[in-house]
Amino acid sequence: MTETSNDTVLRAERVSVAYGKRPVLFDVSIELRRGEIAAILGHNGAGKTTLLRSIFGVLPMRSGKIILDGEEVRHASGTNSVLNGLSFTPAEAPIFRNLTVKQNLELGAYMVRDATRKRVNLERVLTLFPVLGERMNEQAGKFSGGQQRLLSLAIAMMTGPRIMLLDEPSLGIAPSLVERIFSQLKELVSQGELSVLLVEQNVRASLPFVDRAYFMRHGHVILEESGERALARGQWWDLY
Amino acid sequence: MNWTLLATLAIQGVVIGSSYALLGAAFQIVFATTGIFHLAQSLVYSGAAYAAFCISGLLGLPLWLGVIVGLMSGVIIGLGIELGVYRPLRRRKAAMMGFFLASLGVATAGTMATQLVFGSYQRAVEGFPNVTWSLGVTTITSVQLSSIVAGWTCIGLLYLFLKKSKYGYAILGVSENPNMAQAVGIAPKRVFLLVFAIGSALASVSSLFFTFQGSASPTMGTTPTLLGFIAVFFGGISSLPGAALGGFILGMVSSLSGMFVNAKYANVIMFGVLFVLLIFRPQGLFGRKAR
Amino acid sequence: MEYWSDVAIQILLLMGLGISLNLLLGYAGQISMAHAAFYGIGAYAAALLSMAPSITGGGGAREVETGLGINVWVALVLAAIIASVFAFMVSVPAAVRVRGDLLILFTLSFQLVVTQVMTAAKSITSGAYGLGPIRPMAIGGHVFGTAVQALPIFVVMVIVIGLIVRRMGESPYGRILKGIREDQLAVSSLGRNPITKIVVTFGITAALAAIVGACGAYYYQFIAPSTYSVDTSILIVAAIVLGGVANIWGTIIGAIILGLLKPLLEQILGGSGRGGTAILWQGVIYGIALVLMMIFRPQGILPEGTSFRRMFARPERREAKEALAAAACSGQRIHAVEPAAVGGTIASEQGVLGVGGPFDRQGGLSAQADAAVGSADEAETTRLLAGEGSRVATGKTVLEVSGLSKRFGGLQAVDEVSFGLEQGKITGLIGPNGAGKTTIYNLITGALFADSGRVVLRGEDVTGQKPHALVKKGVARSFQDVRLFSKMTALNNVAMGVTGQAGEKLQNVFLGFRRAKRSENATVATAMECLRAVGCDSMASQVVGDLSYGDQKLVAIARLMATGCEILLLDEPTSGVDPDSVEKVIEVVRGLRASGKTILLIEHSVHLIEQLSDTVVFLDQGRVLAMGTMDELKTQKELTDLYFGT
Repeated sequence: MTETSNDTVLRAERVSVAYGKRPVLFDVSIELRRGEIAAILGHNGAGKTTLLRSIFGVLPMRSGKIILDGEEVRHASGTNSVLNGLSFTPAEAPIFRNLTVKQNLELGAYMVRDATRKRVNLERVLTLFPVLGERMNEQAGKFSGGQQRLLSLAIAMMTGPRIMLLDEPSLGIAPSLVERIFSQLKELVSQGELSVLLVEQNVRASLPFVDRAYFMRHGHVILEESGERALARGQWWDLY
Repeated sequence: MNWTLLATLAIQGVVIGSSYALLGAAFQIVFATTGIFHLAQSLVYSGAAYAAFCISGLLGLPLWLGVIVGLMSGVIIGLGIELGVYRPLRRRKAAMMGFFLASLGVATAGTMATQLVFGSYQRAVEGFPNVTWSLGVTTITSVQLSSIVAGWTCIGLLYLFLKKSKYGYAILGVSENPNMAQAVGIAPKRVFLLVFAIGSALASVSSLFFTFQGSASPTMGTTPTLLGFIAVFFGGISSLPGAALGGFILGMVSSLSGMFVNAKYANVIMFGVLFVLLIFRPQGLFGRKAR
Repeated sequence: MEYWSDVAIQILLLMGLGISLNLLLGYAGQISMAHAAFYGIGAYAAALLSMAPSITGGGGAREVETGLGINVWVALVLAAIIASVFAFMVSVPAAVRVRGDLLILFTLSFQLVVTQVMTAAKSITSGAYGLGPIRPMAIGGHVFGTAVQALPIFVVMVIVIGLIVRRMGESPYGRILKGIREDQLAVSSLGRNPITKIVVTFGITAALAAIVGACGAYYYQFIAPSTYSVDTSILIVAAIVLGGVANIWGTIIGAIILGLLKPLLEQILGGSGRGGTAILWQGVIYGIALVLMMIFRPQGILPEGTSFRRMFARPERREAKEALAAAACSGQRIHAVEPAAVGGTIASEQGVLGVGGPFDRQGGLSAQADAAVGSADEAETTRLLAGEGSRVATGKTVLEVSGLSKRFGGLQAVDEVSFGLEQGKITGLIGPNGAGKTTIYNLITGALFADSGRVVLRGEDVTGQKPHALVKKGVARSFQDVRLFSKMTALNNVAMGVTGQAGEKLQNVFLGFRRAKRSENATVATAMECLRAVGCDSMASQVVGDLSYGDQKLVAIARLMATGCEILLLDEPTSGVDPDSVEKVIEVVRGLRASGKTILLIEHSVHLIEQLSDTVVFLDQGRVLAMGTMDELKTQKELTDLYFGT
């Protein structure tokens, strides 16, 4: 059941990527629909992060295109992606450790010109993650892994994105916090303007909140199905 | 105990140390952000001095004008090198050796060209108000004092800029975590330009004050640039205050060593200290250990 | 005549300096900015040693009698030794820390300091005024005083330096240098110690520069510090880089071009030229040339590997060479066997076929190579893989890891890990990302020092021994990111894996000539076998950087096989490989097991682990959670929870 017309906010079409001689993605096509949370799952090295980075525009593609709201992205770059309403959160080192929380958040809003919008975003972020507000002038590197992860999400939200690209948002966090994060994402998405594409290792924790899931293996997409159906499988050894 | 000598050497040490601190800061910010061994900084250094000379010396215009033109020239040269040499190299994915050798080429060609145009003799830039004050057993001149003040003011301003301004921590962000910087939309290319402008400005300040105390010559940039490197590695690659402090300490050490050894060997002492330090502590005095 | 002889000598000096530095910069990839400093040390040392006793200093400095009046040739040798001592001092700290930027810093500082000392130590060196008069070179009664007389000496000097550098560079020793240039870690994982090679090469380079310096001093009979300044170091580097790194003919061309610049400019510019502007224009020109070359043609005029002979070699000669390599394989064994047993046959074959030059695999072969064409069949291959008779899996534990732990700051990367590798079996190592798998490889091979725990190999405690020692004991590893030497051919890459090569020892490079040659032939034979075993023999002479990733992974396995190690630690051998090549890799790994090798295998794809492993170790957050077959592990709820989350 693929309604691709107005409902698709983001589409990667037949993307192939290689690092020098080393091919990583082979003709991969996925899409993200408005107001949904979609997940890309699969074993390490399957190319999930590579796909995300290509979508964000910081990795050159050998072939294929990225289509945003029906229009092909011509000059891919991190800067343009942020201007187009995308945010990207890496799996590792997703914050600026040597800077304070305040500086991290300000950098998140680097591309936001309008001071009012910046303030609104900041308030929103602090409401969602009050622990950050309490420690604004502390060095981010001193936080625990979980708090750093929260900060990384806050940074992404400072740009006021329409599409969030998250790479392993549950990495290094305690299970209870993981659930909180995912339900918060779900909440934000249901409120309206946000769609989320995430890469995850923690299949069990993420699938309950995911509308659709893609499974990748060795640089190919091998399966696409609804979150429910994927979760119902119970185990995924044969997909890995 | 020769107090006069000690005091004089101490004053000189502070002056030299402040100059090295400035150079260290200039080099550090470029190296930490772009990873380039910017040897061509020597051209920025001499370029600023000669530009000031042209304005104030040759044309006889007021000194403050010469200073402004000198600073601007230094910055323009620095930006020119980034745009004309380093950027094309980056586009072609050159290795570190490529950047290094190209930088060397620019420095060499530039120094020789300067000599062709201006001749090899020293060029003085007159006009800096020169007053000498007595400080107990020794003296200090207004030029020396100004250079100390100017140097540390610049370093201080830069430090504040990095910590307080959005563009400042964008620079810190790019040098710490280029991936994340890209993720929030920062364009590394622009940050590099900013960094080269700042580094060139600092080097130009150092150069101008050096010229006021002495004169400009075509090869004036070589040793200070190397001293900038040494200061950075001595103090710690990843830290601006570290590099500045490292430079200052080196300057003091090299000057005070004149108490015990012939002053001509100042640089030898400095090199020796650096050598020993880096054997035992390769990340420098204040640097963070690499994993 | 005299003028042009003088120009020629200047060019030859630059040539000598360039070729000697090329060994360090071009072959080993180490940037040294101090070459002119060693040039100067050689000049001043030789001068002071050989000068007739005379008064130096003056002009405000203390006047001292210097000059020991030693024979010029003896002084030359002593000067070379002195230079190499300084070279060791400068290179050791940077080499040990494996930091190219430190080496630049040290050599640059050293260069400046040396020039300053030369100027400052007025009483001994007469400072900037210059040192002299220096005695010219002489043999018997014949003095080489004028330019015309001295010219032949310099030609001989360049030829000798050229031969030394070429022999070193194109030998197995040079192969290691080229490896170091690209990937020091890979080199040490193949059993060689890069630090000693760098330091020794640095010393030799400095000694050669000193020899040039001494000859120059004797010729000019008067030397000054400005000749040996950092500008000269830059000029030497420019000559190498313009001409072509790791290419001696390239350096010769580069030196000629740069060396002719000044005289030509002097001619063009006339009076002012001779007055000094010629040098300045020279600097401007080669400075700009350096920048342009780095941007547009970083490999230089003559890229590495080009030689005139190769450029003009007729096609049939090249085929013949490959045929010879194939022929040399038949009847050979995997391990680098005693050259004596094998060498005799090879040597005589080559004798018949008339191969030219000791390490000249690019040289021409006579047409009689047709006779040597032949190829081993499949049965041969299996027999070859088997080594000294097939080993049947005995169930014995050959490698045992117990209580291995490693902490990085706040993170316990490996936590009391214990498991054993059974001989002749494939053990899979699986676990989520960051579970510590690669760290364990590093701990076993000694690339990292464990906080606690032991690694026991066939009963011997080898904990903490360095990678190259482990290789000699029979444990080798591959890397997730391949780490081949991309500028070398597949054959050379695999040949780097072969242990015990005589040609890697310097004394054999120069003295044990025949032994080195025989060893090299055996090495080539071994390498070709390994390539054939993975199906890549047709790519033997291709530069590895041009191969597809899948083929690169296969070549990397071949290189591992060439070490002859019985225990192989494979790190994701199929990651990034296209589906067809994956099949090949699986086949090769199975083949290795069949021949009795013991294998530890990291793979992320459960699919693959199932196909290959006999047992599996499940790792999470540095701890071993379970061991058993994949089927057993799949049924364990805790593991499924861990792998897929809760």
